[in-house]
Amino acid sequence: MALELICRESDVDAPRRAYFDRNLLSERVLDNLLAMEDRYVPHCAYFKCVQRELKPAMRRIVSTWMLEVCEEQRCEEEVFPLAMNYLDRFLCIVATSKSRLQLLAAACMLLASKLRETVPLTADKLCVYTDHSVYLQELLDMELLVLDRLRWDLAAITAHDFLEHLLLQLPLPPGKLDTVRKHCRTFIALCATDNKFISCPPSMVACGSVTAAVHGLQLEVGIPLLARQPLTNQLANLTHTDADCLRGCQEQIEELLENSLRHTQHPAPATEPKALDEIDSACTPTDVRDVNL
Amino acid sequence: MGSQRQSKKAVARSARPRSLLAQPGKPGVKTPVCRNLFGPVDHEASRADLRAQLQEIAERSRLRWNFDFQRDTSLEGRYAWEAVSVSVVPEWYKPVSCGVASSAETTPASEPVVFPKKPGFPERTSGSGRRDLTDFFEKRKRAASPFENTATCRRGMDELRPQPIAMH
Repeated sequence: MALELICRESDVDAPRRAYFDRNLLSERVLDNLLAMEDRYVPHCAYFKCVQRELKPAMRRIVSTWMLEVCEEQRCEEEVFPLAMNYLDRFLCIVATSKSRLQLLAAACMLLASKLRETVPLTADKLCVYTDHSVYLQELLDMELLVLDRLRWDLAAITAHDFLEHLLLQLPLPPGKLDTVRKHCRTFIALCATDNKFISCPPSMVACGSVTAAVHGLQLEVGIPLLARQPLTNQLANLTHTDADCLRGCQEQIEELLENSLRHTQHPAPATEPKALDEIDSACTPTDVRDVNL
Repeated sequence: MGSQRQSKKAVARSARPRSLLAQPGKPGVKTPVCRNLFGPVDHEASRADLRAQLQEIAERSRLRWNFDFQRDTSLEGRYAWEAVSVSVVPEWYKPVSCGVASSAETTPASEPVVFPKKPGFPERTSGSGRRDLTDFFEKRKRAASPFENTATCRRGMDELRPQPIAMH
């Protein structure tokens, strides 16, 4: 026992997380998460009704950059979707200029990292990542502004919060849990970069990611409960959603995945494929390619 | 569960220790991720606009709490503010310069504090405690750093760092 503890403790540089507490994976907690999540879902199509200067393509550019920063700094998985949540919620209420978007993105990452990480990203480092186009004082001021506009309500629910609840309920083959979880996390990050999922509830993104992972790994072979139909029904049941709605979301995730894989397989000189390439190499270097579509 | 397996797992997880991560702050180190996405920024305009908005926030909270957070003084209004001795204030309200220093050392017990403490409105400067604390990890590995911390802070963080044989 002592030896085991020493081994874990010597792993100084990796972020340390608590063991999963079964009590926190109960149905009551899941129901609370489901009841709370709507409060944090960005409620409007802000490119249409709030923003004048911002275009959907700019969100893709900024989100890709944010993911790259989070990956390079090896932030914990929740940081990126959480930062995107702050960004989207802020953009729902404040018309922002293009030249201010990267500053906003950096402030969102700073806040998300502080909320979720033991060793958060520093403001200085984020300034460097903007190639010094953002000054430290601007970042700190912006942080305060974001806090105010979001009413200091930062403990938003992300798709990651649902993941363990869902995985626990599935009859996954022994030894596959880690792989499925890893794939799911990649898909959740992928969804956060894509504009189509802005107002999609996190529970639905989580369910869609789980099905995409399970089928991508072809785990349904020999386990009838994991086949497309029963799996969707079970997840819809767990999250109290409509199975058709869920299916729609799954299809969008699979489409997104297919597109990003196509880009990585045929790298083009444009910036976007490079960005998606980054997602692939940064999150899970080989996993995404293992998915058979 | 064999300790062998456990140790393998630990090694696998630490395959990319934080110390080997990109440190874009270091001179000469610039990764492709460091980039300006949308072109030149008018910092003057940006700063003026942010200042104005923060001023508005400060004004709102000044009215709401009838307390001037910038000058740390109470004003006439709904709330009656009174000074409380540091010794009776819960630990977490006391000013901490670098996260872990015990407030008994940093603040004389007789010095009165206004309760509740200011929630950190615009006066926040680049020398805020949060930044000092988080910057510390980087700094330990660098020879020379622009931000030098106090000896107490250094000691404090060392105590915070997990020790390899912390648990028996």
